[in-house]
Amino acid sequence: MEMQALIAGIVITSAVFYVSVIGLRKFRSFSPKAKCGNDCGCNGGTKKLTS
Amino acid sequence: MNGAASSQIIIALAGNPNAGKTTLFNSLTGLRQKVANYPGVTVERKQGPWSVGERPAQIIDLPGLYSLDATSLDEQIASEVIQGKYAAEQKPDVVICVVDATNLERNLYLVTQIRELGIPVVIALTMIDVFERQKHEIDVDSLSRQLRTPIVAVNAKDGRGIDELERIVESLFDEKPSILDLPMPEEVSVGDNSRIFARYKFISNAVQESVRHNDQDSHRFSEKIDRVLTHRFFGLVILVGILLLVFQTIFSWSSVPMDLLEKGFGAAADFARDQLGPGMLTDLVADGIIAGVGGVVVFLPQILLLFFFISILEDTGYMARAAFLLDKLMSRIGLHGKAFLPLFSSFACAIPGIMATRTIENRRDRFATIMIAPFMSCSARLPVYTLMIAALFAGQSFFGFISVGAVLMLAMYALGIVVAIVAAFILKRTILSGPPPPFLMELPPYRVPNVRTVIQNMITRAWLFLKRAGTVILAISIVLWALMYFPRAEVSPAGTTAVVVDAQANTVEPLPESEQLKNSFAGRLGHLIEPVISPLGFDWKTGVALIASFAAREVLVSTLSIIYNVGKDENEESESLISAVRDAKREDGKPTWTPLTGLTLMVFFVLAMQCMSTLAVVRRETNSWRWPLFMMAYMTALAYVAALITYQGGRLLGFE
Amino acid sequence: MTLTELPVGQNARVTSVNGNSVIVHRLMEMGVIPGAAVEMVKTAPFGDPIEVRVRGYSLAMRKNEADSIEVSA
Repeated sequence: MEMQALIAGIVITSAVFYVSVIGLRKFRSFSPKAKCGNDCGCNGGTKKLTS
Repeated sequence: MNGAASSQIIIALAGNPNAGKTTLFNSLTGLRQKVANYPGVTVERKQGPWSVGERPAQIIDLPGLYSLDATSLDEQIASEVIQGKYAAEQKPDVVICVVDATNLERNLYLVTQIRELGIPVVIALTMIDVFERQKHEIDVDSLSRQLRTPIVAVNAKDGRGIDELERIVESLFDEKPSILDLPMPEEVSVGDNSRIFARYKFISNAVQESVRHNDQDSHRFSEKIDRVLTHRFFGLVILVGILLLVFQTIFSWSSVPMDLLEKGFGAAADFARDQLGPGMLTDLVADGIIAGVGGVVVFLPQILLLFFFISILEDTGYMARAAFLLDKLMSRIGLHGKAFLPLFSSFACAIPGIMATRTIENRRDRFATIMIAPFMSCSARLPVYTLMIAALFAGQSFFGFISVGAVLMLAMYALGIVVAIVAAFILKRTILSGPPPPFLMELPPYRVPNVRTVIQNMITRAWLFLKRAGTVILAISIVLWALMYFPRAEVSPAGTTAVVVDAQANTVEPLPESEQLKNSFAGRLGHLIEPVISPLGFDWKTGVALIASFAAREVLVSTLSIIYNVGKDENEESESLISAVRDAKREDGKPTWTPLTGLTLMVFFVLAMQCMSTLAVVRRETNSWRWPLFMMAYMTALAYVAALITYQGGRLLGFE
Repeated sequence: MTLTELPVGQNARVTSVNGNSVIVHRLMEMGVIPGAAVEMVKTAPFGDPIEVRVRGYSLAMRKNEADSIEVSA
């Protein structure tokens, strides 16, 4: 039981961290200079459409 | 430009739209991407490695262009790169000009233009198999002499001519490029356009010397198909019929794999429960991760089928015909027929759609198209529509064979289109007013879609979808689960009767899960916004899902999946999301979801701006904050009002 | 007569392309220059745009654009 709560806590913390990283990246992607995000075939690194 | 890049050999791949440029690029570099039969689908710069002899080189696949005198943003980029005027790009060492053998004269126009600038050019002649099948004959050596430009006949499918192309490109590195000097005609006073005459005259002579056409017209096949598909009346009927068939097929073909996936995730949740034993982690895995991710992943078959059909419609050349059929309507609302492609790609996703607006010459038309593109129902909305239809309208049909689901689905897509038309009409008459744009578009011949391209496209899409489910949706699901799970109340807040204290055992029984959910962070938030959404017929649980869906539309499905699992009390059996939606009850015991509330939710999703990525792209493409903010505000306001009208109107008509 | 007036299925030769706008320039670059053979293939459902064959390929344009092209049979 304690173990379960501990692991769950770690998982949740890392998920929160990941979501905030994505959120930050999304916020940054509003900048005209930025590369595009990681959606719908728009590849992060190259600003090219993969579709 | 940086120093390291300038030492590398750059080869630009240029050519008219539909000349087979992308297919050649794929076979040279091994990178796969979309090939379609529509002018201007290659909107972005694509680069890939190639080795010329021993030397490593980079090939840039340029957007298709008809002439160096660009009329669209897309062509302008290609033209500037070829001429070495594009700031961010090194001047190419060699240009491979892709020329469609079945459409020689117009394709060669661009070649003469580039040759006049003294840029080293090699012609890659494509579609020669088609050309010869039509019983035409071409003397490649003679044509090459006449044009004073090396020509290689290539076939991307069997690799014919690729080695020779490499050899010629290598030989061009060391050669001093010659400048093609065309004699100017004096005959007619043609003013600025005398150069165009000279080029076409030069080309016509060269082609006449080297090509023997059989007198039978080869394009008759396409024309025969067109006689039906672009018929004045039946053309439009067929267009609607094709779309209806697509949606109907998406439903009927996907039901079996979708069922299997649902059962699989259900079994996975049960397995996790058995193995892990009761506890917080078990709840997280079963109710949060498996329900949240699984809830979205079960829609994979639909996504695959949608992209299958979009690929086929594009690759055959039908999309250009659809633009032709609809241009009059488009021009009535002040848009360009060319806006059809970006709008149609927006059915897959608004982001590539908005990027594809770069083929539209006029800035006002382009912005108007961008502003309405998100009304096209993108694939992220598909899970939402499908869930509602499968749960609330399953098994019903009109006349026994047209399923209500397919019609509703088409109606949702149609609603988006109609609202887009009205919005464009208003925009073009107010803030984006301007004269009607000119329309000039090639109708490429019909081609059998390349199976490999279609499958490749589907795999790419499936991978992107799964990747998203495994990263973003997974993380959001976990966070949402936590928001619905915490805080854990051992005793109920004062005033409720939910807690039962067993005096004898002297233990405090935990609250039932449904009460815990109500008391959670997410539950409180849901109750907070309930006054806003109850006029739309939604309860607080839907409210939670609605808020979450502003992160990404398909998160609505995950959230509902999690919320119905978390809120489930001990004695309730776990069930699929579809039956959970059917069984969901409001506080007063009435069902949460009725056909009317389902419809209202779908209407809201058609119109609402719930995609941060789209807003980011709009910000970049318009280079201003005004447009994305305006888009967010007007779309969401419209969605709320339309959903309100749907629900309240439905109630007035006597629906629940 | 102008290209717009050419009956469906008829062939003709371009005699002049008038005006000096961007679209005329583009039309000519696409091969619609005086002396070129054109065939009126069809009109779209609402009478506009039209499809013509020129230099072996199909080109769609609005009547607005076709009006600036003079042809003779």
